[in-house]
Amino acid sequence: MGEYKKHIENINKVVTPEFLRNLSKEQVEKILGLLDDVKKDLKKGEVL
Amino acid sequence: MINIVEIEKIPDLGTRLVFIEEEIYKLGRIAPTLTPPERLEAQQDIELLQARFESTLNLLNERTAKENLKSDLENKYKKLMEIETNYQSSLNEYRALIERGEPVPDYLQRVIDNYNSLRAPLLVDVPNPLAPFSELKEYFEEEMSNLSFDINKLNGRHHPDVAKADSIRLEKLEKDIASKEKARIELNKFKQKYPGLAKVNDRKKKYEELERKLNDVRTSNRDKIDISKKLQELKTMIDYDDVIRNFSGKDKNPASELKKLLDRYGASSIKSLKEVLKKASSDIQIDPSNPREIHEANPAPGSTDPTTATRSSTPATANPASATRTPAPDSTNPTIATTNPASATRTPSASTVNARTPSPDHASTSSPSLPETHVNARTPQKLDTLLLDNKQILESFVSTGNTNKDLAVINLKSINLGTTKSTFTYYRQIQDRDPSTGESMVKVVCVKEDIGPYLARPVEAYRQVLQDVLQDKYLYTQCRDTQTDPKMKRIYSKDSRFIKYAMKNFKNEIKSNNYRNAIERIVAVRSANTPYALEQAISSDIPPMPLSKDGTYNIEINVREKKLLPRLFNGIGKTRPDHILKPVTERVEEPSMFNRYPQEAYRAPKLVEPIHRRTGRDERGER
Repeated sequence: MGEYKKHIENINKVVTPEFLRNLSKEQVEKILGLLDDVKKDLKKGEVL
Repeated sequence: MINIVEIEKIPDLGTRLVFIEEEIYKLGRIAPTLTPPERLEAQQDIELLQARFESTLNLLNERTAKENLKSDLENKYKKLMEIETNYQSSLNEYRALIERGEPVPDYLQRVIDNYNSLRAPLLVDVPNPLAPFSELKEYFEEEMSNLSFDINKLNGRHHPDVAKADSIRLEKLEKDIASKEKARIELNKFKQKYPGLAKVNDRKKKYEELERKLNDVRTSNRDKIDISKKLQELKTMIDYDDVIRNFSGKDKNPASELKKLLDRYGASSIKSLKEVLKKASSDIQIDPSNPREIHEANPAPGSTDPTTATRSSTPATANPASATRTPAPDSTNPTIATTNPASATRTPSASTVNARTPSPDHASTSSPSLPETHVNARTPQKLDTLLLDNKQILESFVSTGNTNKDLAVINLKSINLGTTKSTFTYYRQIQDRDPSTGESMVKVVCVKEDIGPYLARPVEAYRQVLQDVLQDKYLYTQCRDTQTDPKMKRIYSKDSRFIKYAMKNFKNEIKSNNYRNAIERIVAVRSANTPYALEQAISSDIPPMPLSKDGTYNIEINVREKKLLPRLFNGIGKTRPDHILKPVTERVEEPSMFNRYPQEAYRAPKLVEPIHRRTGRDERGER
């Protein structure tokens, strides 16, 4: 879990307001897609 | 692989994006190795991240829409100007030819004849297409200016020059309003002194009459002094009239000008507007991913300052004495709908967050008959330790009653969460008297509206609508259109004005996006099942939500209220949405899979040489 948190914190450090402001729609959608995949992975794990 | 220390030094967008993608990829790889409770926590983290990006996406979409609209307006404006210029020069030429008695060429005649038909398609969306060109020009310019303003705002900043100009405008308006108010007060004093001169024309007539008298040589000196004094007073009255009237014109009314300015910045008061302008003048950027910041900089119309906000507080704090509950909505027995003190126990507390202690037996700690006075005393309650999802949060919103004794309860019939095509249907019960018999009865007002297009995130949206409903108690009186349903004692169908009102506020709130953060914070804090997670949730970058007047959080859900929920919905009969309103207490009693076995039992074996299915790269980032 510590490792997981570390990655989340890393992402949060990079995702600054300035960073978000400069993103394009496609870039945001891509990241959202990736996050969604991770979420699905987590949900899949629950069933197991 | 990029290091976080390095990445913080590199402002390059592309590098940062790659870094984020890699980190997400790593998250995906770790996911299967997590235990169920860890997964839940991780899921919350991911959702928070998603919310930030979704917020950005919404802003981007909104900005694109506005930019398109502006570009469209600019094109129309340009064409309109061309048509007008061409028309005016042709008209001048035409007049000159007519004056000289010369024949008018066909092309000139065509320009003049086609003037309206050429303009018409450009003026489709203009409220008054037949207005003179100067007005149309003004309209287009104002619209374009507003759109530019909005785009700037969505880009995370107000234009400092515009903000400065608006600050000056605000100062002038304040002065105008003050002088108008002063004139009104003084005039009222005179009106009391001269009760017969309430009308402006009467005052003028009287003034003329006194002037004539004064000019009359036959009056004595004493009379002359008296008349002069009265004349002076009347003159002052007329001057005050002028001051008031000067500001009462369509364009000069400072109040309406001020309202425009407030609307423009989405501010609710002069104080908050000044803050916004001050911020904007100094070109402080707004975090697009932080709705609260946007909200604070631009509070939604109708809302108050963050420090005194009632709309932005939780249902509990907005309506601390949420004591009115009816267990049986279809009952005609008026006593059923009376205040139930046992349900009035939701209490905000400054110490709630820090005092939170996970406890599975929290249900037993809530006093079933805590008197209503405890609500006002803000007694700390035992905290809920359940993992709450959005639906449960929604339950807590829905369970909020109203302090108005006429309103028995607000119930939610069904909510289709998480979709963009959501139909929001709910019933609200009200205590009223039957107009024919005068008997006390419970009325059920049904509100059903498709709010999908306006949904940013359903939960806060619904919450806002509910809060609007809760706060505008008078609205129910407008619901007079009856529609009988055999399953209900009485159903009053939706009132269009009611819906319009709710939707208007709803849109404003969604626009300002000001509830998302609060929800995220609630989710994070509530779902924290370890002290570490709780600490993280509280100390995360999410700013504290402006939930109560004293700036404290309220993350409690009173267990008794949760127990009450099924009863409320049972009362509605078949409308009870079991899948949504499963009593939370039941979940506590369910054997927890987390506790049955040691966590290690759930830890999935670590993958050897994991290759990410999306990127095809291994742990070292190599293909």
